[in-house]
Amino acid sequence: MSKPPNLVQGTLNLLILKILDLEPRSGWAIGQRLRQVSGEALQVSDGSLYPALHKLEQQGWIAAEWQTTENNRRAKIYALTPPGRRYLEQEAANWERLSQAITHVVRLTEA
Amino acid sequence: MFWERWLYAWRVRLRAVLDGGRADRELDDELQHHVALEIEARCARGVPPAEARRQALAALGGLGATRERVRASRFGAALAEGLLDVRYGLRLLRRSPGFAAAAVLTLTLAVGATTTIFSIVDAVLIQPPPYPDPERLVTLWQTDPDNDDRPVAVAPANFLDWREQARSFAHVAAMDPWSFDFTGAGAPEVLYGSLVTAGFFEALGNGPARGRTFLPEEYDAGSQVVVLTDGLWRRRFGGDADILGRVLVLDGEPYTVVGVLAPDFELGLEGGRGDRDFFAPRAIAGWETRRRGGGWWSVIGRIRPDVTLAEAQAEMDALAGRLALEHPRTNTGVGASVIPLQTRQVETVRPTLLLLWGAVVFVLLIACVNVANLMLARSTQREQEFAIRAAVGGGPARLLRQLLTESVVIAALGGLGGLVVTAAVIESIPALMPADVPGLARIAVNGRLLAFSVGLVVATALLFGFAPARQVLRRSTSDLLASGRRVGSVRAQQRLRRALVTTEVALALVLLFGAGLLVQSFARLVNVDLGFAPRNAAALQVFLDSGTAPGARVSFYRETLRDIRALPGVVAAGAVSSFPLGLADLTMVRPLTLHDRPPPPPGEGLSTVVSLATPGYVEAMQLPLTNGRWFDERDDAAGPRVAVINEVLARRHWPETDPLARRLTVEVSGRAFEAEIVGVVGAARARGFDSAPRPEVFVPHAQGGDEGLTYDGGMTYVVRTAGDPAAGITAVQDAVWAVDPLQTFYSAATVDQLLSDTLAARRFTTTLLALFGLAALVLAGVGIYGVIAVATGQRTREIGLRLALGAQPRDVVRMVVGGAVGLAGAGVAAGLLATLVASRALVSLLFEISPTDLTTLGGASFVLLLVAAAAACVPARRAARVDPLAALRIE
Repeated sequence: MSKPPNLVQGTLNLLILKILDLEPRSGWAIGQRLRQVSGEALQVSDGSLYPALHKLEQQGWIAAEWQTTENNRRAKIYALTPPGRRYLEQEAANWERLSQAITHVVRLTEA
Repeated sequence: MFWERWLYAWRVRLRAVLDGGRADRELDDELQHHVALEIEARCARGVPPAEARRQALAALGGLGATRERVRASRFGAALAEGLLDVRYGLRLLRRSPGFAAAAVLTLTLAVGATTTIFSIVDAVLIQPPPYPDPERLVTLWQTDPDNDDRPVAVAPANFLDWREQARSFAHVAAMDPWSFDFTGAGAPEVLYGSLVTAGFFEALGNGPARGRTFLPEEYDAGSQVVVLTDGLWRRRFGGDADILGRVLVLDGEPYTVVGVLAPDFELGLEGGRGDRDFFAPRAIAGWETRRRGGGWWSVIGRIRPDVTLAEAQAEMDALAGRLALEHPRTNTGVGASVIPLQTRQVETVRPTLLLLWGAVVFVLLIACVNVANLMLARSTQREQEFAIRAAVGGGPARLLRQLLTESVVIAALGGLGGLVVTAAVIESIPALMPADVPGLARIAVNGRLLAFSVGLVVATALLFGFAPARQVLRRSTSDLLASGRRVGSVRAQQRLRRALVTTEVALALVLLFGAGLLVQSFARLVNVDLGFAPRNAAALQVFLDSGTAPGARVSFYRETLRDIRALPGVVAAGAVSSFPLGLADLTMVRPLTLHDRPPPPPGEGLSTVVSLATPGYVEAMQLPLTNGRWFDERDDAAGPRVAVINEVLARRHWPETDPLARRLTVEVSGRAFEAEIVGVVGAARARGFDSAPRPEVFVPHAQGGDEGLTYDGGMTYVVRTAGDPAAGITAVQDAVWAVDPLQTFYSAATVDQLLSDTLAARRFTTTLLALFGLAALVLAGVGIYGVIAVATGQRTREIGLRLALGAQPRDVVRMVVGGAVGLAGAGVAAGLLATLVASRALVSLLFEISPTDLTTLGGASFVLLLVAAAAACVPARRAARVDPLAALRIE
């Protein structure tokens, strides 16, 4: 069994933005969701999640707010900002194009 | 989209920068929240709480490490961390004030010395003269075929041909060093300056600060107009704004002031006197257009923009060749030399400054080695701290930056101190340096000096921070934490420290040896027997008005000298024509005929220095009279012609026989003077300590008159006093002014002062090098002390064991001191070769001592070993007092 591929540099940002596109979440919830949707195919360590989140926050793509959760805990909840949403659309489209192109090339060599 | 996004981003960034503490707390909360949820999730799956916690932290990669990574990604993180490092560095220094004081003080002295020397090097050697396109400004010289083709002053006719024929120059102009007696406004004074030909100011390219320079017709006519230097304008006229148009009486003639030059106007030629007070236009006389023999003009030129220096030189070579063909009698072998103005200005001072520069870099290196050593010693104590830092997430790059920041903090403090030192001494440098060095006025704390200091701080920080940083990087975390490996790493570190101290001692030896050579040269020089007694003597040079008749001259000196001798406190007084220590050296070298010898073949005639002197001169100089008598009042125009020779001449021509009553003929003022030798006096080193005595013939100044001498040059009064020789100066001035209130004095100083002036450059170099040598010695001592103290501290157990087994405290002291001396010995051995190579740079400054003088080398080595032994004494005594039982209980 081959090892799961490491995340391509920069794709972690795309995944985080996509997850936040559905609804605002805390860092922990984002990690959970990431594992859920990608199964074990993508390994995202919790250790690299937080630096990425803080970086995105500083770039203005996401914004954070402290909220009290249902079991009375204070959690930092991240949400997309309007420019973040446009950035996501743009990046997702880019990804689409790129992956199609690569898939195309890979099939071509197999044929 | 751009602005909208930045609206969100900036809030976060600003908060991170302005309120880092809150951002940190929030990050901690966030991570704690994450870990708590993880643990809950795992517990829900049935994992035991402790194990759940471990797994949660492991998944995160450690709380501390994650925190560090987030922080590092934060905006302004580098800046914030840098500031943190600086704060931490300062706090560390505060906590070990001994280390901080030693390191910062060492650097303060070294950086202060380096920036001070740099300020001189920059002002004199690096900064160009203050004229537009200074690289195109050149000086032109004719070369002397009899004197290794050395560049010498230019003869007028040659200059005129150059000016007319050379195409490479936009302007060529001559300056004729000149002096004026300035009277009619306060005390009479001699002003020094130059008469200049058309194009002089145009060649320099700078206009005057006030008024104008000279008009073409003023040059042609040699008009009586004058441009003052800023120095004279301020000194004599108090910076009077209405100076323009004022009429000054110079040499009894009215001269109109038409301009004042800028403060930074400086040519630095002619020993700094040709540009001191004034400039006046110079007409060229008819006879000068034919004069090609000896020259006395300085020539400056500005090369055209499209011509290179080499091309200009090539043209001048061809031109000189043509002139040699046209005027074979005077110009055969006479070349023409084009030398950039700045090169010529700094020619004499350049080697000295480069030497000092080299020496001060040595001091700086020694200081860096010392601070590196101090930091290494401390890094031993800080190993645990670094181990913990590494364990909680400090990567090697982070630790390195921390260490280098600490180095920079220390270097910056030292650099700041150094700048304060430089600023404190910079004002007094020009006074310490020989006055004829150009650019001294430019020495100041300026932007370049600040930039240099900043560069120096960074360079020193890297230099002394490198070794400790390397040590930290080479050791891994496990190494640092495992105490079992400590001994090995300590040994490696001790090796490095010993190597550093060895280097330091080697560098110090080079400096000490050089300083030793110079100090000995200086001591030998000032102890040279001058042949006369400079103590309690004053010398004043006067030039009587050129219209004074020979008889009036004789009586002028006779009367004034009689008045001077009558004064209380005056022991003896006389006058002489050639007193080379004075401002104007009037030494005449003339053909000599000895009547008891067959006439020599043509071209091989004898020559000698010829001096005119009055009665009382030998007593005033305390020249020993070895044979016969000196002149007295009977040797006047009516008496038989007499002469006195010096020992050099006597020994050369009459080594076995008595020269008295023999006859000789010398030329004085273009006339033959035949006389009988009546006395022999001792030989004097008239030009100063390092001059060799020359053959000399004295003739009585009074034997003038119609058929005799018509000498109309200057004379120097020499007065010997019982007490303070300064009293002699006023005595002569009063006596002379009583006869002629308008008479000026060219130089009026004590002979000691005049002699001291000849040593100014040498004293400056020797003093500085001696200071550097001393600094090197102290630093080497401190370095040795540091290494030995640490090494001995680490050997406490071993020493305790030795003492327990019966070793005497004396043996322990011997062992420790011996180790220090061995360490210094290794440094001395390493430095020997470098020393002998480096001392070659000193050759031109040495006097009667070899650059490989073994006694000095031995002395310098011995002193270093002695200092090493002394430095080891404190740790040695401490070691000897070790309580064996206590020492063995350690660890």
